[in-house]
Amino acid sequence: MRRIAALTALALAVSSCTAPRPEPRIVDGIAYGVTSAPFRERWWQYYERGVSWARGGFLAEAERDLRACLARRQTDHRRARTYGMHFVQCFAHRELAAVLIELGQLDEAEREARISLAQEPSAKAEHLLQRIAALRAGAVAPDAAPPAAAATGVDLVIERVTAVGDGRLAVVGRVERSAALVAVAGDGTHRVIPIAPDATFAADLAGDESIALAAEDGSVDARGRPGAAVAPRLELDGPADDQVISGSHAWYRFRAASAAALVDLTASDEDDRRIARVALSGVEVGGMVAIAAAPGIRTIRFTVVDADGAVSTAVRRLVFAPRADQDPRLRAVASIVPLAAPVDSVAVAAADDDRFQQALDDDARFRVIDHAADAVLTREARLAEAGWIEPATAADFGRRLRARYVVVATMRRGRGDIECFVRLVHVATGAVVASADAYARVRRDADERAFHAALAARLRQAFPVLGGHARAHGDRALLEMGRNHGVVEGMRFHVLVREADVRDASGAVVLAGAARPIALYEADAVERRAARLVRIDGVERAVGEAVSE
Amino acid sequence: MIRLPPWAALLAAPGALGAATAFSSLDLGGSPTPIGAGARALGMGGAFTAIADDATANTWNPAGMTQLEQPEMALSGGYHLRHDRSASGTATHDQFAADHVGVVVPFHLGVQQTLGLAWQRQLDFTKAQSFASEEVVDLGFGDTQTESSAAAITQQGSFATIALSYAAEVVPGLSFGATAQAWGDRWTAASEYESRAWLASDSVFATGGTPAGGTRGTSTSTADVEVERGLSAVLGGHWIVNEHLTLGVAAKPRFTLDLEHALRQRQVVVDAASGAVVADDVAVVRSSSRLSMPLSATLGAALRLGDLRTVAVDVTWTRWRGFASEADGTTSSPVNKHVAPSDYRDGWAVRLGYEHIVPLSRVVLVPRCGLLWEEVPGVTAAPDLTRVEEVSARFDRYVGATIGLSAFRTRIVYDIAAQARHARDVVDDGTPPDESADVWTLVVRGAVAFLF
Repeated sequence: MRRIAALTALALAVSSCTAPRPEPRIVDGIAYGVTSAPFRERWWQYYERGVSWARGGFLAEAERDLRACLARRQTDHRRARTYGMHFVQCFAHRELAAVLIELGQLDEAEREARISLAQEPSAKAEHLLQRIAALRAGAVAPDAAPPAAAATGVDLVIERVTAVGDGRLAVVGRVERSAALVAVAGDGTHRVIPIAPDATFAADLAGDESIALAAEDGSVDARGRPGAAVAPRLELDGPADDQVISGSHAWYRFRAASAAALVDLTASDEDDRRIARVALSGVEVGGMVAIAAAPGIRTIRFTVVDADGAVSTAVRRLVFAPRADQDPRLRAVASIVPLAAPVDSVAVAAADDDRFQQALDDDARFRVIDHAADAVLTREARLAEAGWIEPATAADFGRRLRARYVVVATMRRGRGDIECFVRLVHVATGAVVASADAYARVRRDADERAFHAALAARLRQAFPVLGGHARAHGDRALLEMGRNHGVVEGMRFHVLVREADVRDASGAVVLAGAARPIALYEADAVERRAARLVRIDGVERAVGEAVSE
Repeated sequence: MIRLPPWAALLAAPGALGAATAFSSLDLGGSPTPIGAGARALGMGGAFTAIADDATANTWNPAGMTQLEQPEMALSGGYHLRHDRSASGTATHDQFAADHVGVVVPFHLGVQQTLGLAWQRQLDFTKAQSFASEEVVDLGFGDTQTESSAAAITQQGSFATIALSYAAEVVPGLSFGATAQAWGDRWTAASEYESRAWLASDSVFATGGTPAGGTRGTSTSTADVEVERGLSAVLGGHWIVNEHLTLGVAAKPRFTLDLEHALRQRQVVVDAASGAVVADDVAVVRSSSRLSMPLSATLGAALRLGDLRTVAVDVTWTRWRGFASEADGTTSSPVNKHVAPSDYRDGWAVRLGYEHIVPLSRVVLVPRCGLLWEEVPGVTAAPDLTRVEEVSARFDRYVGATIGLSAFRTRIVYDIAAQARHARDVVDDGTPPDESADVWTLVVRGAVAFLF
């Protein structure tokens, strides 16, 4: 025992010789540079502390900790294993990219963001790349008002922009290729900006001046980059060809990239009418676009154009169907698990849960049960590790509240941005039947509301209200809608019978007959265009109009 | 006087019984030096010294406990089966038993420190076996002498420990720890075994097929062996070299167990011709002995390949000459009383393990597999039953394979694992001393861990 005691004393003595650790800093009552467990130089603790520093604006400390994390662990992953059966979320590359952007180190920030995107795709990493591109184009300066620099593509790299007062900006950067650089005033006049032998420059821009590349003789090339145009790249994530869209809007997530600055993304219909437009800037951009169209088969042409005039297109053939009428009493009952925040995020704001629930209420896709009634649920939800609530746990909540579905969301708040992943869990099976995500920069309260509204719309698109026809099929019923329409296994349908219209003596309809549910069916096998139904309640082999829960 | 076959004495003598039979029925890795607990580690082939990052850590490498950031509790139990096949036939015995209950609590006072408390079934003695033989000698002129004997033994019980562990992370990534294990039935309530033996031996003279003389004898005995006291330790070190590689070392210094034996024996001899009771003797004998367990050390390495895969290896060295039984002033090997402990050289064991994490939407599954190779002290076969003392030390070489599966949901981990081991030409109390057997063992262990 004496040996053990001596060993322990030695251990404590050695431990007292370890390097001093930075003390957390408290600003406005909030501590930054903190970890949830005692700091032991584990990679996840460097990550957690780095994110904490970044949240407080202590960028040098954040950079140091995130680099220390990356020295120990080189991969971003949503479920990174710490020890045993413990997992956390780790986006060290991405968060380092965010810090480097703030520090004006765009090249390395882009590298880190791309690494993160390759290892574990996330909306925030896409946004960071978009922001980097915009910064390079001079559209937005870190910690300063947006500079009035023109889109110039990758030949021109703006490394740091600092507001110096009176609307003037101090700009430092470099020119990647041999070119001249000019400052263009609002009246079209321009002046040459000297370029050092190492291709760097430093310019002091007036409030109405922007930067542009110029030809060797000093004349301005409006596009900023001569040479043959290369078609930009366009990727779309959303409804596939022949997908039936219930309602008037189809949501797509897009990603565009080009060697030249991107100008815009437009969507047009088969008559070449423009039905959506998103202004773009930078060389790589991601975002969401809503396509509005009238019912019918629509051929949507997406076109992205860059500053060289190069064009890429993508075509989707969609079937827009009127949104099914649904008696509000027939809506699926859903409960909302309180929002969870991953360890590297600011805690969920007090109003976030209310906003989220309000958005779902406004969208009216579900009949939402008040989750605040269940204190146990709230407590357990807060135990969720790394902001990830297991679907099985969510299903338990739903069963307790007698809900058909549970909405589980993980919300990450950064400095001025917000990201949310939503999953819809089927309580009976614990399966995730739909998911959606959204990301946005938020500066005003209206941005937050718009973000939540878009999130609710994306969830509705993933799990729409459907109306169709049920017919007898042997001893079962068959629904004439399938996966293409958004039917998922376990989705329930009410078969309706419409009562006779009330007419006056002349035969004119005074009151349209109401639709009354006579049976409840559940989809147990879903094909592309049809689904097999099993009866849950009501009449056997009911046929007629069917509307989803 | 009852005449017994020479090898039956091994069953009849309680002193030898306790030593010679006890340590051949171990199922915790096949070695008389117990290894750690838990189904997860079993599924990894027992290669867990460098991993040791759950509530069973204190049984493998106490230093590994400092990896825990939150308290954990674990309990496990298992099914154990042993099958021997020799020229005399086959023998199989099995049982269900609780293996381990433990809790680990981390705390931070200057440095990360951890306390652990565990009850663990270290050595198991449950078994059953029986033998029979008959020899008819033709004396001529129609006379015969029949020598027959039969023996049966049932044995049940275990040796367990209560362990208190402590570990501290002296510098980030480098930890040391120690486990103190108290042996003794008064502490563990599970540190004794009972052995019931029944022997029958007939020596009958017959003329023209009619019994004309001789004796029929039976002997019944009940032997209780209880751990009076014992204290052992496990010392460990654990080093997280980098994100991918961890190293672990665990040493178990030599220790002794004081054993108390109580034997109640009754011998009845009956005249074969008349049926009259010739002798009816009852004896109660109490004695004590001291069992020395050898020094051993294990060096382990674990290589983590990303978040999902881990490969681990353990190499164990054991100083088998320290494995000894001392009674009545004489020292012998617990393996066989005719072998001196010093006849054994140092032995080795190698264990390999691999696990792969499969995150699913509702549960995280972790399949595992492992391989092992172990040297376990044994003896050579005797030339014949009249010369059972003519044996020498050797090592039985076991090879084994393991599989396991964990399912993790929310804060509960469910584990199940199975280990199969095999050795050829093993000579132990499962066979007559002049025969060897092929031995198969199977361990299926289930466990539940709670992450607080």
